[in-house]
Amino acid sequence: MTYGLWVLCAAFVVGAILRLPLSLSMFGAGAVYFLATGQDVGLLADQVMGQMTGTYVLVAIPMFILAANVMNAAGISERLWAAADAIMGRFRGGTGHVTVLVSIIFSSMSGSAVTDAAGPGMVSIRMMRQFGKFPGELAVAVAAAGSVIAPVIPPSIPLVIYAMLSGASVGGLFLAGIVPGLLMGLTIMLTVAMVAKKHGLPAGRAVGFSEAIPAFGRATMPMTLPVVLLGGIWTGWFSPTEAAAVAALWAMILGLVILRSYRIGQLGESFRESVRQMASTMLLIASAFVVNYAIANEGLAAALGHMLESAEVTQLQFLLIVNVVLLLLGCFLDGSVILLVFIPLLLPSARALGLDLTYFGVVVVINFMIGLITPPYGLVLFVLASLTGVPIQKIFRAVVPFFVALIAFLGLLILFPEIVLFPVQGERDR
Amino acid sequence: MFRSATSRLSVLAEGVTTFGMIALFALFIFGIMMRHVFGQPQTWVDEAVTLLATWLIFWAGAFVLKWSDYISFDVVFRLVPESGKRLMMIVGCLAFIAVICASIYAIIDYIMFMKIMTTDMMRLRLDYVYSIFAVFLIGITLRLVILTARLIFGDWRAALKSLDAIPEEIL
Repeated sequence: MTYGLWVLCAAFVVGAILRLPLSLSMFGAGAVYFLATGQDVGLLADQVMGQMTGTYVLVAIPMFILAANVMNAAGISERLWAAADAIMGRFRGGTGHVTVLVSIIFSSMSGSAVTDAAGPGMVSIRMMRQFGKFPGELAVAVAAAGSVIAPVIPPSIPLVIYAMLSGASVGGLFLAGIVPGLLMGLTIMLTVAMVAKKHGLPAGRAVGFSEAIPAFGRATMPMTLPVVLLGGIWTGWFSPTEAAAVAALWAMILGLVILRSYRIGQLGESFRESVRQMASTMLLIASAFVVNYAIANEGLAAALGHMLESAEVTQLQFLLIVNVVLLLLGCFLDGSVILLVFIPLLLPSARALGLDLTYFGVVVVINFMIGLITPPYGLVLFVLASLTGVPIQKIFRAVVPFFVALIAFLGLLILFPEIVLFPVQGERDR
Repeated sequence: MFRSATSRLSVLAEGVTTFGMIALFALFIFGIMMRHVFGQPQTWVDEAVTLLATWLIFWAGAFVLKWSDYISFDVVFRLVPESGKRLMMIVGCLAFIAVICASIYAIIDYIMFMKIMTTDMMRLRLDYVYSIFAVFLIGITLRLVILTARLIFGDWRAALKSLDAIPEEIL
């Protein structure tokens, strides 16, 4: 490592450990790097503002957040719950399966795991405890595991960020995320089945046909949101950024006019909430541009590439190493930081090894999502612990089976890339 | 007196951001309508939404977000007793304030130099466009000064507590 990189890393690590916000730690580390290497500190403004004002695709993020917040405020979780209950409620630990199914459906409207956990996740936890006789920590574990599907099934904020970093197409990444997202749901459901048996949880009640049909009817309208959003992108009518705004508009029309479960007075609150959520995410992205500039300037990515090349690492070995390292980092660092700082480092090597960048993106995003439920720093676990009052230590223990199952699933994706690539391949061959 | 002035200012700052977000959304919809419904693409809209979003992020980042809203790494911090937390935050804040003080002149100088360039579509001068970054750095540094003062001279336990509060939108 060069002198400049040492300075950069040291400044960042010190700032982060002292609990300065990570974005400020990165801005600060960038400034220290420029000062220490005798470069113009003005480059800080140049890098941050040049990149922020030049990256149109990033503006999709506030609109995705807005759409999900409006849908949450319109109370669609209960509608989705009733429909999912009619399908999956009858099995042993049925409410757990329903939770996962609701997460999958909500995933197609939201791009962030925390939004999913705090919205439908909280509704699900209440239902699991009340009707499914789930112990509190198990209910939280199921909802947490379900929520990490949100950024894998499109729309997805991490996939948009990855698209910006790698140059891979947002539409292609979104397409490639669907099958792995659904399989993640299946993996979690299988785990729920095993855990439910172990805890001797009761079976839910079977919902009759006459009750199921109206429940499906009530869930139909919210389900048009992903159709508008993804249909718009894949037919090429809208850019992903425009599609995000159209989705937010459609969410408002749904809530205000069609479902009538959202009042015009709530709009201001939805905008206010969205702006805060987007600012904390996007500030981190802005600050990462500085760190990325410094890393590129010091030639670290190229050095890493040469090292891997001279070690004659194969694609599979590369993926295994990268995933193990990212999982370990994910135990301590925020997924967005890893995505923004470490992925640009790895991309040149991934390219040189001939890895499909769309595939690589989906795999690393799933990896980060597992990090969200990994002790000791699982963001979703902490959010749910503080919202439900269930002690975090108990949640840590309850989430282990889900965490293990998802890692096994990640291993499967590494061994069989076709799971991710076949829909994309079909699209490319057309 | 001082408290109520800052809280009034923060309500104002939040109002500006909410209005900005509504404007961002409206601009998007206007652009999409013009392109797809009226067949008259307005190329400046893409640039306008990107610039507006950037301004919103830095404005909200400096004046609207609560300390608990910022994404932080607190694995180590949580293990330390209260008085240690106080000391860590004070050192962290002072270090950041020092770094910004050492660099702000060069940053502002660079931004002012950018007056020779404009954006591609709307031909806005880049020194105006980039100025929000300096506003952000100065704003956040001033807030850190206030936080440090609270930690040293004021009710430091309350100040520490404000770092950990759950963001209210989640509640």
